[in-house]
Amino acid sequence: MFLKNKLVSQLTQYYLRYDKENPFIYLSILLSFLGISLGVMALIISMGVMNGTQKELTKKLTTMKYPITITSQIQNRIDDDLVLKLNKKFPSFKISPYYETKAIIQDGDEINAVLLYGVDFKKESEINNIFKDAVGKGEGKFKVIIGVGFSNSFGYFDGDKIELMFPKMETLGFASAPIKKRFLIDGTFKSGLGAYDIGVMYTTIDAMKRILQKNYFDGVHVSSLNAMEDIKKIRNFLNDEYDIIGWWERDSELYSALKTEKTALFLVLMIIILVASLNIISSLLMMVITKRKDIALLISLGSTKKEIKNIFFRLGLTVGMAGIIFGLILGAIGLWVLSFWKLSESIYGFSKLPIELPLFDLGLIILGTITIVFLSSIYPAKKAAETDVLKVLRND
Amino acid sequence: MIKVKNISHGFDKELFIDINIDLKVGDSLAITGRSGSGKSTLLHIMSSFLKPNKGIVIFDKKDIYKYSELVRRKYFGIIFQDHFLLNGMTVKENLKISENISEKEIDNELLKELGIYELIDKKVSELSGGQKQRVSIARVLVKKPLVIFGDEITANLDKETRDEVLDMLFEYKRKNECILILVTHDDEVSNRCLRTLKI
Repeated sequence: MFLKNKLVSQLTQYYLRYDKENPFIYLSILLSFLGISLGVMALIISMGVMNGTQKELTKKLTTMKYPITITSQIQNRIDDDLVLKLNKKFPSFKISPYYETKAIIQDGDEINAVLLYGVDFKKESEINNIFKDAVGKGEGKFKVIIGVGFSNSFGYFDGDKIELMFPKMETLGFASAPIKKRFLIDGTFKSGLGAYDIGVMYTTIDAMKRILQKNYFDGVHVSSLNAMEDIKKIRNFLNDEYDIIGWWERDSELYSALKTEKTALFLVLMIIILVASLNIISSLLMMVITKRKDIALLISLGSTKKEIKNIFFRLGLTVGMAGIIFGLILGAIGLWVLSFWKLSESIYGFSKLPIELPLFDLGLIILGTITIVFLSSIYPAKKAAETDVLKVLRND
Repeated sequence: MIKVKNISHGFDKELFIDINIDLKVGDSLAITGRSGSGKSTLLHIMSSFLKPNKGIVIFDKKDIYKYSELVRRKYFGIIFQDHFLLNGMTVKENLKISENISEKEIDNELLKELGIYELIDKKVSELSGGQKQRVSIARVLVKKPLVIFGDEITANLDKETRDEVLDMLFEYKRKNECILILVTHDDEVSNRCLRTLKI
């Protein structure tokens, strides 16, 4: 199909010139070109914005929900030994053991519950950037990092003291009462996820160990570059006593919704390209009909049907490829312009529109469009080659 | 070199029956007859554009359909009543089509002989009817065909231009030893040909 042929090149270039006698064909070809360009531009911009926002959302989700969580139904199974074993086996993974408990804050007549994690501040900072950014310089073990939502709703700020009540009883003479402890607020985190910002707090491992009076952890959070693959390695390493779960498994519906949304958008936008490619077919067919005399003459002069087919096939491909290139340029400009677009962080959770277009997605857009352009050029080219020379010459 | 053996053809009814012609290098044949008698149809059969209902056309001792389409088009040149030039192109670009098809270079001497050398950079739309027909003849001659077919090539030309075109064509035939087969209504054309076939 891609024979290097001077005749094919000459005629392709000639038919791409503005034709005074048939301006509508030229206009139609121009519209086909623009249709493909706009389709590619729409795909690039939409996929770029969709990927960017999804990545930003996924980043927040994986940070707060942690990529991989190891827990156990059996008590005493998650201790310092297990953490040591994991660190030794998977030195590239970031591992942070944690305690987890509910805590109650009584503020006058109002009572609020939060989920309190007891973490090693150093290890947690390695796997949780949001936490890392919030940690202050407070001394001692009884300190907490609170969420910005909690801070704003209940009026607690860095440096304040807050009393937490735990679902663990302590004996006071002949009676018993829930343990209460005052903590220094050492920092405020902002995850961008409302439920976490209001309902999650972090304290030190030592504080939790002291309050809960236990030497084993409730779980281990693990972060790695490729959690979806690495989770298999951890499962192979640990026995069935452990529950190992990835964030995408815990929120499988959300994860599949994100994936489906992206695929659906890609397919819908590909339909735009498909519609634009119909214009290529109709323009080329129109050209084949108006150039029947030229085709008949070329065959009478000795050009082969294959050459005739190649002329119109290359014509469709040239218009389509030019459209793709122009569309890529427009798309890149569009993404560049959108990257400066400021957003209200309080509403959207981003200060500017997150944009990302991975090479794989870009390749998929180009490949998909080229395939459509390729297929839509075949039929008119085949029709051109089927021109009945005698019929054309006789009817003239 | 080109032999027509027992050719019969027709569409609803037979146009001609058992036509036999034997032409050698240097021959010229005028095919004449009334309108609708099948002159052009016979020309199309001889030039392998149309398969006859009966009979065969032999070219250089072989049935023409034994040759590939490419070979047939290489050795045969057809000139039409209409010039069929590509109007948006210059004369040179039109001739370039033939050059690209036949892979034979445009011979400037030939263009001088045909009187179109000075027109080479002009757009086809700027040419007169006679000039256009000369260019369409040149486009075929660039291929250096062994058999030249012409279908009413002088029908749209005035007497003076017709004579110029015929002079040019017969001179080319003489110099290049090819066969000339012309369908015509014009007695002047048939008078110039060595042989005439009336159907």
